[in-house]
Amino acid sequence: MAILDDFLTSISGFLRAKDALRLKSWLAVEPPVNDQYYRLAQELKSSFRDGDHLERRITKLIPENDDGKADEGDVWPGFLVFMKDYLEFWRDVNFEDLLETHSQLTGLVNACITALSNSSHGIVVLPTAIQLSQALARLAISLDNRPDLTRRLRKVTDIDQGETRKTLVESTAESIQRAFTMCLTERSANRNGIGRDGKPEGKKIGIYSFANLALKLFFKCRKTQSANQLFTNISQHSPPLALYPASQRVTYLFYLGRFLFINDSFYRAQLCLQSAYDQCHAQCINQRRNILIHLISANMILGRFPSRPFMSRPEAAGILERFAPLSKAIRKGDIVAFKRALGPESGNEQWFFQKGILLPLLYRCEILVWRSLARRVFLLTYTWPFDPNSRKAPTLEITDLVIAAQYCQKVLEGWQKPVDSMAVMQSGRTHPNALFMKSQDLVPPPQGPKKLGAQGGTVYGNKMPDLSEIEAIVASLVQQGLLSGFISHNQGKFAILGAKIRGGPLNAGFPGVWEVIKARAEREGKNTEVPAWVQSERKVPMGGVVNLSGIARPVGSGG
Amino acid sequence: MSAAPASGPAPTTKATVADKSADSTKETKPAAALEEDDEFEDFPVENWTQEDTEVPGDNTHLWEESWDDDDTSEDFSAQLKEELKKVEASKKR
Repeated sequence: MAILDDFLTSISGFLRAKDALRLKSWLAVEPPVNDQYYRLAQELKSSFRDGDHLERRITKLIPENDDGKADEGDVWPGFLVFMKDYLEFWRDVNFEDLLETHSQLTGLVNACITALSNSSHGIVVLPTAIQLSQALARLAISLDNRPDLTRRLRKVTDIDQGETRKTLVESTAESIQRAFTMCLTERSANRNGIGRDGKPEGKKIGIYSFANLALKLFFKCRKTQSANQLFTNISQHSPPLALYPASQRVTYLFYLGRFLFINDSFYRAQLCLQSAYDQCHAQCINQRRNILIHLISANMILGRFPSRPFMSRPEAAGILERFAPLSKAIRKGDIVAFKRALGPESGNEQWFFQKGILLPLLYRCEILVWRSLARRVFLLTYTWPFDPNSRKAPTLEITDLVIAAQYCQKVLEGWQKPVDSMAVMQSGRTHPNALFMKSQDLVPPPQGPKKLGAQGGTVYGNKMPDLSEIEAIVASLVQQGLLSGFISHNQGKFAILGAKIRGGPLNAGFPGVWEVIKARAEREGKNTEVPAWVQSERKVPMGGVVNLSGIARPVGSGG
Repeated sequence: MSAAPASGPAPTTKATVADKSADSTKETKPAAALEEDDEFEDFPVENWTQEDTEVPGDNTHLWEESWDDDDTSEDFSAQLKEELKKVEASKKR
């Protein structure tokens, strides 16, 4: 019995000394660990099958500190329960059975978090709670990648809980979120949660460790909306992010950026992801790569393309090539190339999809392609050179843009130039736009136009774009500030305003996309503040009445 | 983290990876494996300085903001031009 007794005596010593770090390193759960743990497990198996017996031994060897000095630590009931769970974990665990290990580890983490909740002594188990939560999160993710193992679990829970069942990853995230809330809402001596040493006070030091684990799991199980509450709580109660270590800052900004991206807040997403990228360790290629994929996506949607410096960066290898056809198509206004850059023929569709960026790129970059197409048609149809003394505003015939759009639609549908004019006659097909067909070179494929999905066509599937649709697109571009001028519906024209004072019709009519979006974000104040990215400490009036009603309430309790 | 013996108690996470390659012929999907490899990893170190984040080369012009392409001699423009001309001609007839 020597091992258990020695172990408990040491633990008791760490508690008295408030040595949180040694406590953490002794309370290991994740192999590889040294042989002592397996011998401890053997001893527990042979002599402590009985839980009560074990409990008595723990209570005896980790006694209360009756005559302790004021600065010494002490044991508390929650810790004893946790210790018993910890030893039972080692007694019963079988690392071959990952599912069962997950269940045991979940119990242990919950006991540790309960121990953490003690207001005077709990902080000593904070590093332990973080370590256990990390192990649990890793295990949950491993299991999630093994549907063959979790299928058994699914069957069991299906019967138990029916529709309301949660995935293993989700329930793990919720356990960890409990620890997060505890750290976040702890009442601290200093009202802003910052200690005299300038660091987050007390348990607040653990906020982002737990938040990042919960976020990782929420993203893993695609329950990103569950992160909403977490971000709201951080906005309200967290000390500034800058006070935390770099690894935590970067990880947090990565997930916050992705969350904002998913919620169509691309400008703010870009701010978070850029900051994460800038603060990331230069050698951490995996992390830089993950950040970069989303950072490039957000920037493309905002009208900025990755430029040369990325080409020499290892994390960009294999990424730039996938985005390059997309930026090329946007530059030219080539709708066909744009659809293909994101379609199956590019070979990248699956990759974009798995990264969660396929649909945002498809939906959000399309308007940029239309802007460029309008610009290109203007370039081709305007009677150059521009005369700054002319009183007439430069115009774009909307019907010309219709022709261009219809051309793109035909190519998408597989229309081709006929090899033999007789073949065209025999095909017997007449196109609805007979007017346009008279000297038309392109003909539909003999087997009929290729069936296009809703997003596969220029406007909607196989719908041939017409004047009213193109006029609506131009109106939308004007409304978004991406075209500068007005539409004359009667004349079927888009007229450019300010060509004289803004250096010609191209500059005036088609302002740079990023310039427009950035100016709008600045007008709306989106450039200075990002919700859930705490940049400055909360100002609480000194000596005044502090409203604590929002603090120390569990997540989801309203308010 | 990988020093544990192959038999007996094995590290939880590594065990999964090892098992996966062992029974890859069964039900594990290659797509899932790909995704797993690309997951955002935990950082190997807790904290670092500003200097550790610096990469060689130009760090100021990462993003191209003016990218309009005025070249009308390339294929796409040529096709559009041809198309516009044809329709224009057919209107006049």
